[in-house]
Amino acid sequence: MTTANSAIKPPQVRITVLITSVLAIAPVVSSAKQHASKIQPDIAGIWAAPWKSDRLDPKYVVPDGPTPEYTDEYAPKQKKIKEVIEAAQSEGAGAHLADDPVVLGQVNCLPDGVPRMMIGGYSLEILKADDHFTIIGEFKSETRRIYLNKQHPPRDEIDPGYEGHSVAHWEGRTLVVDTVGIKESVLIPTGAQREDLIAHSDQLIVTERIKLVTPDILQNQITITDPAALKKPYSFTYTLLRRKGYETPEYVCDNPREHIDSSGKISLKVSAQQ
Amino acid sequence: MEREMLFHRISTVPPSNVHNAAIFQARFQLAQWAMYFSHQSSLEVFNCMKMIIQCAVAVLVANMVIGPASMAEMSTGSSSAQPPDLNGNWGLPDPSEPIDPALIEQDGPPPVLTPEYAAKHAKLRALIEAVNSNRGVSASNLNNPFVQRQVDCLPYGMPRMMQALYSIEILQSPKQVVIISESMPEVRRIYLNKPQLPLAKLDLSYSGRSVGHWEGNTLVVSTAGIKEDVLFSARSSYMDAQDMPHSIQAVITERIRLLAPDVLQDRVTISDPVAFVRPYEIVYTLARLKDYETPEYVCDNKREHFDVSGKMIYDVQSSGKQSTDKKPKSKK
Repeated sequence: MTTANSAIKPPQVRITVLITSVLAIAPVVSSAKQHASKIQPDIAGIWAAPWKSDRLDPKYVVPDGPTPEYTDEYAPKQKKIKEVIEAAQSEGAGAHLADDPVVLGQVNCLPDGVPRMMIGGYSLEILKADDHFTIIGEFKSETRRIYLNKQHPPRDEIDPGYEGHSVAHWEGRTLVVDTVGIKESVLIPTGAQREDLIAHSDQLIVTERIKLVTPDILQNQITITDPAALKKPYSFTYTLLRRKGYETPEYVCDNPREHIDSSGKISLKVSAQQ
Repeated sequence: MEREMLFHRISTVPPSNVHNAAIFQARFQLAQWAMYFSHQSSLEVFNCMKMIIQCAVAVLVANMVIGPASMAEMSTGSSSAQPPDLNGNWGLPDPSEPIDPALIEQDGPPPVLTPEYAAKHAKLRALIEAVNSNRGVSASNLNNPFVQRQVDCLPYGMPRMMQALYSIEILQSPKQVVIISESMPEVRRIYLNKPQLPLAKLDLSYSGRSVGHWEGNTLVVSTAGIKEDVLFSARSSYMDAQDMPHSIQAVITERIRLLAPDVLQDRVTISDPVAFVRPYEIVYTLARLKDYETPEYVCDNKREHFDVSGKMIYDVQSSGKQSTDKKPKSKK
């Protein structure tokens, strides 16, 4: 036994020395890091949702809360959207639905809008300018800008758009973004894992709390507030991983494979001929 | 005011030379290592220590090569190797504040297409005329790139997006320069100090793949891999040189610089030995758009579509605003 113990001792000593060294240096490194991040956490860079190969520690994944509850007025709208999506994906939406935003979005390659674009299914590039952040989605080059320490213009001066108007400020290490003016055809996710999408009213406010939980993991806690459509606000969290050295390829929706046939069914176009 | 001072500092530094380039390279390396270091978890500190040693050796070597005086200059953060700041929104000038005409350079002589591409161009022009005059194009032409661009809201691609008819935003960092056009939007990324890939390895795209480097105060960019659907144009007064086809051999070289704190010049040279007899040049001169909040441009309510005869018709029934009609908002 003694012989066996002494045989494994040297590596243990080496490991102890290694750990001690790490502990000795780590505080210096992390305090330097903290000092830097007090000035401004570096959220710039390229980010994307975890891929299977990433093996992300589950502690960084925030599970969705309960399904959001709609107001009586909006419940029928939500029901209809669900029906349209399901129909379009299976037997055809019907030609009368060809102008429906859900169908149009698929066929015309429209942007996902805020906050759905932040899911980072392809990738997102966050760029820092003097007075704003510009975020570019790889998917369709969807672009939003978040202005720092600015106010929203009065609501009636905002042109409703896919990205709305976003202003932000830092609360410690968290970038708090407030977005209004999202056009009503934009569908809102009900969670990070849950795939259902819902409608909203012009009273929608999207609040994002964006922070680095490690230098290479970004979390965006999104709160949806819409007193006309929702009984109470709900939140969900997107987790994104830094993609060092990623060259964003061009994504242009120039050969839409999905189209609506005369019955209103969305289908995959398999030949180049329309 | 701050910007003007910055420009003043930049414009008074001597032109770049090998010496400055060496300092810039050393600083760039240091910055890279610093960034790498700051992103490591504590478990990887040993790797970082290796980096520190390498870094220290590099500094020593740099000191020996460049000389102590330059090292002192480096550590005080002198701007001698600092590239100019192109960040901001750029576009056509506000009519009330036109660009000084003395700064506006004329384009080069009109491009000359090779016989093969002149024939292709002639066919394309007939089609374009038919579309523009609303006589209609035949259904067989529906997949033509020009027709598709109108109908499907496709990007202009390079180099036409640099024309900035709406506006462009430039976001610059030591590693890359990102340019976003307000319309569509189109995005291009210029990777700094990286090699271009061989054509066979490039996915052909609207923007191509761009690499660049600073030559003094000028950003020199080379772009390759532009898909053939993208149509090239010369200056607008060359009526016969619009919407020209090109081959995948096309290479676009740009020299981008500030002519004044608020005036940006992009001198574009288009080379394509298959399509053009000789390279031709376009000079875009853009004004800084101050306090400009880029509005959203989404081509989401197409009014133009083709009827069964292939004639382009105007869809007057769609409700809602036509985003493509949007003009740049007046500068606040």
